[in-house]
Amino acid sequence: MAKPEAKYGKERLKIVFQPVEGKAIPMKAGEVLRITQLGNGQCVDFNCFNLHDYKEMLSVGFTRMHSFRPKKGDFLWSNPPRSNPLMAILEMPASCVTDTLHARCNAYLFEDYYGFDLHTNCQDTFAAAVGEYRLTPDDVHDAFNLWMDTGWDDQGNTVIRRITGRKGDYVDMMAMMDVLAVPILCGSGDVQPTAAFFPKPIQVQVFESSAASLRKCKEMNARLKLKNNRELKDFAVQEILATRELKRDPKYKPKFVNFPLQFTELEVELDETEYGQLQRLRFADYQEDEEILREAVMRWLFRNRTRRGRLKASAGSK
Amino acid sequence: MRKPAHGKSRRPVKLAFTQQQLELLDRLKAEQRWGKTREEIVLAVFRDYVKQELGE
Repeated sequence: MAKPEAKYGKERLKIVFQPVEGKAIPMKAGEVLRITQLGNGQCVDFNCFNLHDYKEMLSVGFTRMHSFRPKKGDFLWSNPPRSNPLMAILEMPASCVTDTLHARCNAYLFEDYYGFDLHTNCQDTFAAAVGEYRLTPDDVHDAFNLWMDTGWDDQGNTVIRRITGRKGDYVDMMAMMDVLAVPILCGSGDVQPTAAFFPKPIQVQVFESSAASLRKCKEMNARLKLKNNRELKDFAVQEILATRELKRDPKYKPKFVNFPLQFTELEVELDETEYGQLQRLRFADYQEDEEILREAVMRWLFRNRTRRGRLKASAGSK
Repeated sequence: MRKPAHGKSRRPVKLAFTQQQLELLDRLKAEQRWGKTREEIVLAVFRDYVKQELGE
């Protein structure tokens, strides 16, 4: 009988991170990062860069547009206009609630909240980790946070709920391109519910790619590739500034997309019944008939002719 | 396509669309069930939206 195909390749790295450390780990496309809870709940923050162009990095904002709480089957996305999947979440237990709201803790917050002169924090831990690749603290970006349950209250204030992670929980994320992956232990855990008020170690492993993981990576990249995944060659400005002071380029002319927009007027006729329905649909009290009709048409198009709209409609009907 | 009810008064509504909005409306022509002209498509989509929203 043929040997079953290995899901991942062999383990090539195994590290235990003690509170509060982290490491920048280069990964090839198709390799898998496994993060395992060694205690009952420790928040892990995650940054990620394109290994060959550090200006392409994790965009928590763009990732949040896909899912507020990325889970198994979702992707971590790079900053538009690159808009590429950086990591694919292959395995994630229900007890790993994820966060795209709280960015990353930093020393300022702990001074503000508690009066600490200096408290462990994710910004400084990331900066210490990525320094190995000559990246600066300014290159640290908002983190995708694993095992971190956040939300907001009726007043719009953010809240952090008690961590739900359990010993032995693990998350597997596959690199969708060559990346510098940066998992770190969150530094807030001794004064916040992010580690239930006691920081714990975590284990990080990297598995080499296998024929199966490479095939999966290739298939997913092909499925997600769109014309608007921009590359450096598409940029109007390509050079990275080597100076810190910003100066205007007097010769620069911006090219805005589809500018100026063209407006075309149509005229339709509604019967009395339809006109009454139009009035009942009114979306805001200031709207003229034209605005109500256009909004109804565009809402229909979003709901019925986009993937996102159909998903939203089916979620709403459950 | 639904025919206008004979004898009932009609309300003309003029509305503007951007070229991007029209690109989406024009795609419905290929489906061959929403009408042939942009005006027919706007009316048909409006009626379907009313059905979805108001159940009428």
